[in-house]
Amino acid sequence: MIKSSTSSFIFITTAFLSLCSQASAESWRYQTRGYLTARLTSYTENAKNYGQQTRAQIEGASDFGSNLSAIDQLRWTSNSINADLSTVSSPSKKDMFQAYLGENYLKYKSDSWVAQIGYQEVVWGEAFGQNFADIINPKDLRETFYSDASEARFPLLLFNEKTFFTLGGFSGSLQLLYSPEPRFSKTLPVEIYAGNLLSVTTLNVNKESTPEIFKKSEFGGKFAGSYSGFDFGIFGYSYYDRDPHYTLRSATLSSISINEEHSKIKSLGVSLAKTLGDFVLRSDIVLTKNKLTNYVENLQLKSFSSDTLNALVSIDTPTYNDYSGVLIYAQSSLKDILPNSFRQKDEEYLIGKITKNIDHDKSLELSYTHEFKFTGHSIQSQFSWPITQSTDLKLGGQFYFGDKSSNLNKYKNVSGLFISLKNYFQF
Amino acid sequence: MRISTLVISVFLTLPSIALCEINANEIVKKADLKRGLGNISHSFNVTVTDQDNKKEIYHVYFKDVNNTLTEQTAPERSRGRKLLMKDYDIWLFTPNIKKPLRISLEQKLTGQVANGDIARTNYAEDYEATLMSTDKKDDNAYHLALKAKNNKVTYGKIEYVVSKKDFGPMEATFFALSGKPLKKATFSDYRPIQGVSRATKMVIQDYLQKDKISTLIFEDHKPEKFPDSLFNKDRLEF
Repeated sequence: MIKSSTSSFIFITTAFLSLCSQASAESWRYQTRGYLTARLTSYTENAKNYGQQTRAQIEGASDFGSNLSAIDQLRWTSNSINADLSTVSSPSKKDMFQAYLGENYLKYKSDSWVAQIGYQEVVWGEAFGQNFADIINPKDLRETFYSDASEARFPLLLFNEKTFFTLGGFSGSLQLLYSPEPRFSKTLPVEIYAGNLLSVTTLNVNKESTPEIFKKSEFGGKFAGSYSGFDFGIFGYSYYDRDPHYTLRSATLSSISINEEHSKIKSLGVSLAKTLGDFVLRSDIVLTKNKLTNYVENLQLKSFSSDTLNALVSIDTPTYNDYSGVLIYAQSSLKDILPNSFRQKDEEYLIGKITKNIDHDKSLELSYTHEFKFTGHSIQSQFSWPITQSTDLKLGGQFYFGDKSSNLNKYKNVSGLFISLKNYFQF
Repeated sequence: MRISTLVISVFLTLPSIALCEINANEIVKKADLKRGLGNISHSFNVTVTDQDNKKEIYHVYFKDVNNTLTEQTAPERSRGRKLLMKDYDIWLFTPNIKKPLRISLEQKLTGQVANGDIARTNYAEDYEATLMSTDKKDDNAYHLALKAKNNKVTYGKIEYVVSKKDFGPMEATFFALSGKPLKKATFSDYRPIQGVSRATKMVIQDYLQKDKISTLIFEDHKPEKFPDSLFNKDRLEF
């Protein structure tokens, strides 16, 4: 299996590079650009508690003629949000630094198909805000409302090929993906999910590291099309769960040591978007087979397998007097559930968002999320102002509260007000 | 006698009415060719400067009036934003969302400079023209009323002033579908492009907030062939 995936990847890579070599290096152009973001948050849950995040990205973009190009990104982050989200008191809050490669890929474009090879981000689905179909790339789940979606995503090593076609008024595409190196999301502290189920003084988590290249592989594809005001996509991906399940490693009266593991799963989905006058209706539905969820039985940490169905329907309103809105209903359901599980069987949310455009380039966003069953609430607001041609100022706040068993209440430690500056540069 | 006079005058009037109608649409067609290369496959750049001197630069791929792709190249924060208009469908791609999103037709009107002002500039395709009564003080120009052919176009109505001398557009007043006046534009800086003198500057002023002014400079028009796939929404991410 390993040998077969290795040889197929080498074959694909060789074929790709041979195609690339046909593109003459007639004109080579290079550009460097990037951004630097600094954000300061004053938390409202704990007095005199501040959080910071600094993020930088530098990107080199090369064009080798009209068909071949390359992107090389380097990212750097420094943040304290992991500690801030912890439910365990953390007086020695430590900032975390990380430098890593962002998107790094070669792209070959022809008239009817495009191929990319390297570390990249691929996003599926029609909805935005809450995106159940965004299953390919692992994410930094510690990022919350005021981060760009692209800042929370980690690139994945992929061979990505997409073919385009047109039949009368129908235009469509077929995309194939293959990854020889699964990667996992950065999760919230396990206490967030476990609640009181693992109430011990010390909880040590052994993270599962990224598997060696070609040891494990993932593959999938998407067929998408548009016809007469209607877009659809059907997709499937066989991959290693981006979220972990935990197994017990050792336990004493005062401490527990657990391992983070990721099982192989399959997701199948459909996404739809339809224009209804000046409204746009969107829907993403994703079925994930045999996803493992943890539970505690007789003081033992166990996991069970169950199918998960995530479904979302949203409607965008037209802009009226500079106001526009989005209403989203999202539900995540497990087919089966056991007592003392790390999640609920059904999780339902209703999200309303209003955006006011001010003077063409500024905007004020206000959103409210309501969680059903165990009632939870979230209120988020953000004022965005491009103060210069290259600098954005953002001011805002986010507040999480509700029933102690609600998911939204688990984020209450990051409730706070923030100010951020983002500067873009280009050489 | 009276009846025959009436019949004759009706016969004489009808062709002249028809001629006026044809002429009005012909005038708009000729005026369109004074602003761009018409309905042939080509590309061009648009630089939009607002009253605060903030600049936005777009590259437009124009296959025909029903297939246009606009890509923003500056400022850096907006680089890579793409807007695809295909018939009456619109998709937006932004590098941070990383996937094409269908948006509603009214987004064509969003912003002081509507997306339609940049990418869908052939009025003859979208509007039915009639000649308005000529202002005697300005008889060097045709005064036209352009009515939207359907409610999917950028504006409900345009009052258009076109030079009689060379069919060069001079002024336009844009109205919403509700009839509310939105903004006024003047066309100037005629320069030879592909052998024809064409307007390269459009200054748009908000109808109510007169201090809101945007200047659009159209340049680098090049006849160019594009593959169909360039106007496939699933290609926007590449």
